[in-house]
Amino acid sequence: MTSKSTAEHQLAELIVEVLNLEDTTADEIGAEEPLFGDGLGLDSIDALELAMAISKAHGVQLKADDDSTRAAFENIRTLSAYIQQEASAA
Amino acid sequence: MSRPRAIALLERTHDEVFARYGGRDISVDTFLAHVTALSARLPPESHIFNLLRDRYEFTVAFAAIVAAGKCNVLPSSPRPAALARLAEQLPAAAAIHDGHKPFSGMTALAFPRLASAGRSDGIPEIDEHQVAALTFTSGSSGTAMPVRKRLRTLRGAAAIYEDALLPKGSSIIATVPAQHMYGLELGSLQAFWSPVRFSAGKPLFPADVHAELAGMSGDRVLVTTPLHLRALLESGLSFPDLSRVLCATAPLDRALAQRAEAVLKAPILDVYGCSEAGCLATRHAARTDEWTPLPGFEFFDEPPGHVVRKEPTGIPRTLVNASHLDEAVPLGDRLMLSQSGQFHLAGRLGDMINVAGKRGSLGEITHLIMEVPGVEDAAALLPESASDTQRPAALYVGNADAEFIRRRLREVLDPVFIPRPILRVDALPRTATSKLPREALLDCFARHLKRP
Repeated sequence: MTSKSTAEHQLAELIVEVLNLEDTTADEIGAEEPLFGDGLGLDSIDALELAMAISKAHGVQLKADDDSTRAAFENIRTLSAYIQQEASAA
Repeated sequence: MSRPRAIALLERTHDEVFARYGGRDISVDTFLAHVTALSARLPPESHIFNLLRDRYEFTVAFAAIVAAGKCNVLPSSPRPAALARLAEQLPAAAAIHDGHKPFSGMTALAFPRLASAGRSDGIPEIDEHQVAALTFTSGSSGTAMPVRKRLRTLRGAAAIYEDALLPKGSSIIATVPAQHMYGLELGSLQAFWSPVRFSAGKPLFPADVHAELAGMSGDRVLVTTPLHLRALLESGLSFPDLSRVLCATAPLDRALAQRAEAVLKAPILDVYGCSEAGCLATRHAARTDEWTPLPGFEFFDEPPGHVVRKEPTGIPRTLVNASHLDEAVPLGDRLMLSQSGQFHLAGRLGDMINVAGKRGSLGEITHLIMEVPGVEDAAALLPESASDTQRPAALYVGNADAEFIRRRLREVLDPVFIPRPILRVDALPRTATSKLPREALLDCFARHLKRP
């Protein structure tokens, strides 16, 4: 497992808290572990909950029909980088 | 059943706008040409899994399948193993998809590119009793139960919805999938028999909903769920004008409805229904808890001695009937009927659960966990929680690993029903008669959750 930056760790904590992943801790989520499918197994409801939390915490609006966002949802590392990029662009 | 009668698959004028697809308006004529072109390419099987996510492409395929005398199969979960299980129950099945192939061994047609114009066979006449679609509802027996949708039922529902839900001229934008009964009827099929248009997209995030609304002109009606509605409000975005919002799949709470009306400046109509009978009743959730049946639907409690399906709790079931349905449908909710014909909802019956608008059964989840090798006993439960997207959890006994169980469930179960968490225990709190009282189960769950 690759180690996470502070921003990545905070995002992992947000995911665990928002999605009530009671049997997973932020430390257990790898920075490059897939969020959907066979990794963490998140679904579209999780994506929506997560988008709400991200817009509240960082003021960033996610779009699903936009290729860059779809790629951003790959894992913690890509999502964290996307949020920082969008937040600084705003 | 009355004598077979042919009805028109579409009752629309040729140059009217039917849908918005790929950034342009699609006329009824163009739609019919697309249906004709696709009909020629359909696989020979009698049942076709319609897995298309784009609402317009879905609708083209839906019409082509019906026109060819075949039946649409609309699974609630497109997971390959779930499809394979459903296919076993059908005589001969193939699939039409948009890139996500169903499973190996099944004939699959990728949705073709649509030509901008072409020849059309005109509006097909179809036997009104033809089963146009199979949808699925979660039974407590542990298997998904097919619900047959005859063309006359779908058409009868559209006539009711035109008066009560989707006025003529509506421009429909839906956030729910077309494979779900609510999304099928209001987001797509309404345009077969009523002068409305729908948008092809299925927006998820608030910014997507905004873009989809902005792309539609006219009297915009948003067809959505409480979860999507809450996301819209929390986004802080300002949305294009709406003439109304229809919200279904789970009851909308009054505070959310009031906030939504203030922000969206449109009436929010809460819709109650079920996959067996469609949309059944509405309420103006910002003002009242009481539901008013849509015209044509009759609700009645099961008369004593004529019990259709007995609940373990002994609570009488409420049934609903209407002239466009084949038979009275028992409802999965407890209804408190009043003399005026209106009603209150008083919770789900039996082991039915609702996760963010998707309905499932704890019995089905338990059954699937029990099938995993290394599991000796199991129980799915719904923990008490303040969250409105409460997920099921599960306890099990055996030497199987929780991660292994999770992986197995993912193959067959809609992701929202995968228990969170799945905890191993030494024994379930069964009584001498092997029953599992809900209180004891919740207690056992809470004790194990706290353990580090």
